[in-house]
Amino acid sequence: MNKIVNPHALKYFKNNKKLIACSPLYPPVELFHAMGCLPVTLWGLREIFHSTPFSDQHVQNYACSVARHLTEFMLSEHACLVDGLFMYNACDTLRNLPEIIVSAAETTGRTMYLFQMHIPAIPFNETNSIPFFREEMSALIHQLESALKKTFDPDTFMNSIHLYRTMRVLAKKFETIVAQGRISFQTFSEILMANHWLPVEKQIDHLKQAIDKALPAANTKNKRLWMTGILPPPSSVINVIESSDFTIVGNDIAALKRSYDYTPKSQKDPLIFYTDFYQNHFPCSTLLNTSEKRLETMLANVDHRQVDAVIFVGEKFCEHEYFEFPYIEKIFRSKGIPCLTLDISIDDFDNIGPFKTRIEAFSEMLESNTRESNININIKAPL
Amino acid sequence: MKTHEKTSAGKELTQLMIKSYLGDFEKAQNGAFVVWIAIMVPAEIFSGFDTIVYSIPESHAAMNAGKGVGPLQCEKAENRGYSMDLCSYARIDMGSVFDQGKDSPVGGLPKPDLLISNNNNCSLLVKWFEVYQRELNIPHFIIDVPFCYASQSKKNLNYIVKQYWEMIRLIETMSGQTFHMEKVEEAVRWTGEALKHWKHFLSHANHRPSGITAFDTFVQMAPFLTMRGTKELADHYAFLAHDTQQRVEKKIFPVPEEKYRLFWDNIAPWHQLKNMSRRMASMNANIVGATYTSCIGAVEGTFQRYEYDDSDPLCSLARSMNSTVCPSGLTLRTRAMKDAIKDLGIDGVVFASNRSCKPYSLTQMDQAKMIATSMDVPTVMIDVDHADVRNYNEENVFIRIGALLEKVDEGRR
Repeated sequence: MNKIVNPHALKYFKNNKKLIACSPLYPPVELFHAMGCLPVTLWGLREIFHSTPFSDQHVQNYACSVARHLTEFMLSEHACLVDGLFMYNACDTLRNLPEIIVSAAETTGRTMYLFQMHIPAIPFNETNSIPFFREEMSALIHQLESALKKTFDPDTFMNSIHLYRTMRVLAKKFETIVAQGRISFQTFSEILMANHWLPVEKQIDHLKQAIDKALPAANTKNKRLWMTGILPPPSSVINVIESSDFTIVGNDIAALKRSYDYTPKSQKDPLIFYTDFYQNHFPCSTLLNTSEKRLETMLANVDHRQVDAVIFVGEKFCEHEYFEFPYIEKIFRSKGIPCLTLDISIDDFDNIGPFKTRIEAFSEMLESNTRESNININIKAPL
Repeated sequence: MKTHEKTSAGKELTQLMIKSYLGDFEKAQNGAFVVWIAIMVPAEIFSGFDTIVYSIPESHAAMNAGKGVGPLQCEKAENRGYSMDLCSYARIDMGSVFDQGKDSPVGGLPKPDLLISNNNNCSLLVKWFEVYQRELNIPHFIIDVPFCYASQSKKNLNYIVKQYWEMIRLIETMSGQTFHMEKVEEAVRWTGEALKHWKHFLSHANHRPSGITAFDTFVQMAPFLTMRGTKELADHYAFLAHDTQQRVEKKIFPVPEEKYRLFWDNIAPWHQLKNMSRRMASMNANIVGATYTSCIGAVEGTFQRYEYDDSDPLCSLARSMNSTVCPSGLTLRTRAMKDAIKDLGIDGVVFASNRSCKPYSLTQMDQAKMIATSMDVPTVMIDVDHADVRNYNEENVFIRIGALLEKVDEGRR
């Protein structure tokens, strides 16, 4: 089973299909699949690019690692496999990248299809955002049909929805198994991140294999941790967390939970299907029309998983997340849930000393709080 | 004539701004409906109501930065957990709000009844206003403006206009006031008149030596933001253009021995206006224009004036929603800048890479290359933060500007 993001494998999986590189977390993958393409969501590039020399010629170093790695990939040798790039208005940085990437690629004589759409940043029940969105989606379908010289087929689309739903259901089952401590979050994260680079059929196989390897449930005294952020922390940091007596029982990480949580009801009409999807997908700080629901959803998740503590995995320079962290942290703390914020930069791979110290201290603080609370209970008991 | 001495138009501006801020507070105290808006929300629409006061947190933040209290206000937000990587306008204004307007040169802004943000300049304005929505517990209306990679489409324009109508209905419901379109039409005409004079004012940069500096334009843009749609704005810009023309006729120039004509890209460094203009003048260098102020009154991809054509005023307002550099892409930005470089006879371009404004800055590296190669105009990239002086190093900046001037000299040999 491939647990590592591997752009070289794309050549093998591409198999005469058009490869559509997508960014960031909510591309209409079912549509691309139904049109005979291989959609790949460009997450997890931190693991393969330890520096970004191509990107650094075009994008300032105060852009987030997601943007810099995406640019690096699209300007690297791997991008010769890419036939098209799909992006939407997820944030101010990402809305500027398509032109930067395409114009830089053109200077090297490479051309690619550019697929873009504007997803309304206002609630879907407001103004005329649904008709506007459907016009955007129709335009995308027409652009695909024209580029691929292929007509959209509703039955094929239904099959694609079925496959992605199967994959997402398995991912959620996998998450539950991880929450039970039967598989490490490290393994979970690696497989899910690698899956973004595979055909959905392969993703399903990998998830099934991983789930089959789950250990039997066992009692553990580990503290139950929940994580939020854009990307999972680097493997080295996850390792520190799991070695510090934490079981990561849930997340709303953009590249993980937010990506696999929701599939609308099967529907032959892609306009209706994607209206539902973009209206009801897992809330995200980047899509403004859903951010208000985020806290509510987070609290429900944390409650459901009986969480002891929360770690905010800050993606350095992701302002959408940083505007929300102080408020969310305040609410969690008011509910007695301890929080720790980690600020992960583009070059935080091996220099994990400061993270280790903070995570271990956080763990010890939680244990000490638990001990004090037990002592208080014991003292109070005889009275 | 020293560059830091106030012109007649500069003195009038001070009076106008004081009157405007005091007037807003007075109206608010007398029960006017108060709206806080993002900078590019078309304020002419508020003229359609009897008494609406609008205030702009971004302008307020720039004023704080200009008056030297930017870091103090930033720290108040940072102490509440807001990262130093967030836009300094946001940190300054949040700091001021969290501290009930303390340390602000105008004591903060009148307490709002409604927040209206949009995502054309940057989507983070929406996140910033969400903080106020929670803090002040008042409604927040968002105007969604699609980004332009090519000229704004009719579909996008109609989408924006429909949102204006929704905003108007919301204000009617909340304020109990009735909306009058004819008043908006009048306001749009006053803005159009003001912008005609604004463009005339900017045209004095064509003169050699230039009749203005970009710093003059940064300062003088303030009433365009806070007094849109008013006769006072049109009158002031008429006076500004007239005053500038007279000074040119009298051969009074901000940089009399002008040797280098430069162009500025990005938001003004509000904490450095005096310092930077003095130092530039001492080097006989004049930043004669800026994308930030040239785009006012235009549409995406050009700095030419967009004239109101007597059609639906809301359509006219929607048409200019992508004008302010940030809501349009690399191709459109570069096109507008190239035209300005050609028209103004620019010797070099200063790209201010602004940590606090990624939407403005992220295309700059490519723009710099495109301009250097296709126009043979040297460029330089300097690091700034528009409102947080803690992220600014004057000597580093001037070493780079010095290098740019050397490159200009080299090209002339």
